[in-house]
Amino acid sequence: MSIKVENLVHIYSKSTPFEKVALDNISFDISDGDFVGIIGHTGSGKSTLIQHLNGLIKPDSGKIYIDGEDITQKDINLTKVRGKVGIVFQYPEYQLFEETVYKDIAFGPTNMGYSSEEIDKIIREVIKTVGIDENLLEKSPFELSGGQKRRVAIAGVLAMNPKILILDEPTAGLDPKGRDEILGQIKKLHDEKNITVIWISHSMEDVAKIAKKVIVMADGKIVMYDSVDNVFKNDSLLEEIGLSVPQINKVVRRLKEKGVNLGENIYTVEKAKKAILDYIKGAKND
Amino acid sequence: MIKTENLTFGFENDTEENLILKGIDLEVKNGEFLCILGHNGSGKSTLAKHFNAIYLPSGGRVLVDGIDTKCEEKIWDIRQNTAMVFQNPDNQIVATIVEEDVAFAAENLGVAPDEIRKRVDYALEAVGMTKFKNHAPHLLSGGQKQRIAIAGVIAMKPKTIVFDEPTAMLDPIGRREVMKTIKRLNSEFNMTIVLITHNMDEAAMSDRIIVINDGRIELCGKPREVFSDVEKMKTLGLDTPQVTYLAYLLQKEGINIKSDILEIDECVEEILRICQ
Amino acid sequence: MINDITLGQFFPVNSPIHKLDPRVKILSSLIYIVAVFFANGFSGYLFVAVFTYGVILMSKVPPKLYIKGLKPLVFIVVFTSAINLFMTEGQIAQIGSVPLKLGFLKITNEGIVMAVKMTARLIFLVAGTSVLTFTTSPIVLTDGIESLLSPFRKIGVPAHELAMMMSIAIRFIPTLLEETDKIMKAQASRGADFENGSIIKRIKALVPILVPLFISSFRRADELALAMECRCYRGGKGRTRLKSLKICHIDYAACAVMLMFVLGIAAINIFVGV
Repeated sequence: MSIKVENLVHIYSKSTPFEKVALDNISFDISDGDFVGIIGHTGSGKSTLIQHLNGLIKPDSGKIYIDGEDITQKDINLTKVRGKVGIVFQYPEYQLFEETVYKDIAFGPTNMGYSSEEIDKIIREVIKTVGIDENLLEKSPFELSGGQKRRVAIAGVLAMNPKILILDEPTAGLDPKGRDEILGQIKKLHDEKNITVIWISHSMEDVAKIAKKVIVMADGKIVMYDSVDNVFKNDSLLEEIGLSVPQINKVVRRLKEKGVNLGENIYTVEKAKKAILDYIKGAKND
Repeated sequence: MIKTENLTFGFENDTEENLILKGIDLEVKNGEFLCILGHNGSGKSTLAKHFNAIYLPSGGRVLVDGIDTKCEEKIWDIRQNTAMVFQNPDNQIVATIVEEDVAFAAENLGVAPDEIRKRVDYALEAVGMTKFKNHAPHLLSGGQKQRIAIAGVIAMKPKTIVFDEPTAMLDPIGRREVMKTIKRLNSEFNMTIVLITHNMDEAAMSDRIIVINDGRIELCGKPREVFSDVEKMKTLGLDTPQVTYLAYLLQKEGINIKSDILEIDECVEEILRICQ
Repeated sequence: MINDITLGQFFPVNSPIHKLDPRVKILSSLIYIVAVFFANGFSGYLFVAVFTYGVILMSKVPPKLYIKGLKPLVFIVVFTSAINLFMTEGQIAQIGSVPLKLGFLKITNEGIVMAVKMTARLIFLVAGTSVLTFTTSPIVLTDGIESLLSPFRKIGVPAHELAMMMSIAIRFIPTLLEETDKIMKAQASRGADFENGSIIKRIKALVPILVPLFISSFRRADELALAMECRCYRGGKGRTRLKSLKICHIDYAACAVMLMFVLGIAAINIFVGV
């Protein structure tokens, strides 16, 4: 499902002394089946932006089209929009509330009006996607470990069968293993079901591993919207707006300054390894 | 100095297998910057909470400057000596004005008002937050709030500060601010630092790393030594800095490169060497 | 963003009233309340009105805000005036030669006087106590209450604990508001509907908000307690303060003004009586 945003403006506390322009005339397109990372530091407007995409916040001006339908118009059915655009918020485990894992995951699809047979089928499917064991379904979500809670919460959003999945820092606070697992699961979900994914992160490393395109935000504006390759080429700009650049980028940049050019688009360790091996081979052949 | 001797810990009804800590022998030296790594549930936070008598050992003992943490009369001396800073800055701030929050611990210790004033100014200076002293904490950024929390324990004049994942909830800017502050406390103010983290770049800044797994110390050594054991770190579910990992991958391909690379410059030099 | 809310009614400007010690302000407010009930006759009311207006001007808080504070009271004022107007026995009032009487409803001269007096009293009370809340931040107010209650510690009033609880509650208001907002948005994203349906449905719709909110409050309380323990908190005994309350010249001046106010009302009662 595609997203089209046109001239989106959002102002907090309008016409008070606290007035703050959170989104300053933003326009962009995300095509069906894309995987887009959004990076930017706290207060850059990224959270405000995603809350517009399922109608949680109304823009002060501008239009948002989800699959061609303008969701800023007055009599739009927001429940339907929210079924199409699933948002997993930061620390989603803090929103769990039901007695059992099963019931909690069922909350979304029930609101969407699915029948109980359909819901049962969906639940058994989504828990596989996020790696939750079936025998946990009848447990209280509050008995689970932190990582498991996070997965249940993500499953609760996936269960609405969204065509667009938005995740706001889904790996925050997890240990490296938990982080890699979630990263892998979302990637798999994207590859298999071809759903559109928007992944918000502070970590350029994570975004580099998983996204196809990146939106860089600062001060309520989109500073860059390009392929991962092209965004990383501009890493000095990223550092300027206060984002951390992966170590590998810095290594490659410095090597280039010292006369060893490994080539373009190297921002993961694997790519760097390959480039170095190629370079050595090339040097030998010369 | 903090010392643990064959420290075991479990909650009631825990069998020997289920103990959270299964015999930890550790010495944190004065002025040291020690980092504790381990995946969630490995027991690292539980261990840290023994350093200021929040938890008391089930077996073995913990000595803080020679005082056994089981000694009840000395508990407030121990807590003043070894301070703790936690993950969520919001849940550590007590007052609605920055300087009053920083004063909280000193007030609890019954320090005279003039002296509290001095300590608050000193602590705010140490974390670089002096100009925010009259602000409301809830309007500050995450990194600033965490620095206020740090100032709040500095006002106790502790010898050691234990940080339990202090940057986990912060953005890159906040992380940098907090890590800079921690580094400064260690090098300029000569405080002993114990840092629990999942971030390997932060761990690389320490003098020594211990890796906890299933209640035991699995690895111990300088960051270089610990990280160079990439395979072991992987099996423990932990990361290594990207440059260390790169060296490891190259070595596996038969390239002759140092395995204990930790810094970017080092990595660049080594690659230049093998490329020429 | 709800981040920007000011706590309570506090209006931060620099005025002589703001500078007063909270204890002086609290006690003055109490004296004022009692004095207003003793005020008698129209000259007495005029005196209170002038005094109140003077204090309001001195507080540098826009009078508009005081009027806004009166709004929730309109119903009570109308209700009590109506009761006084119609229920007071006495001589039936007349407009020209038409007596104000309709069936069992009658308006008496005494009733009119009572209604006007009650209305004036309520307005004085609200305006007077608003001076306290507009010019004193909740935290300072808490300090004042703690200090005033501390002599009663001997008879078992936990003055420090009460004050600590109040100030922590105040501290966490913005945090919990923010949290509520987050949870509401997250549940709305899962299709929860808080705005439509019957009352029962709407109450049910609160469960997905309240449960996480409670759990998170308990978690926060737990973490805060731990952090406080790590910062050597062990109750009020032996505790010192960074800023202790001090009575200054301006506070003596305020006491003198209050004394004059009380004497003024007494004098009017004795000598004027109209």
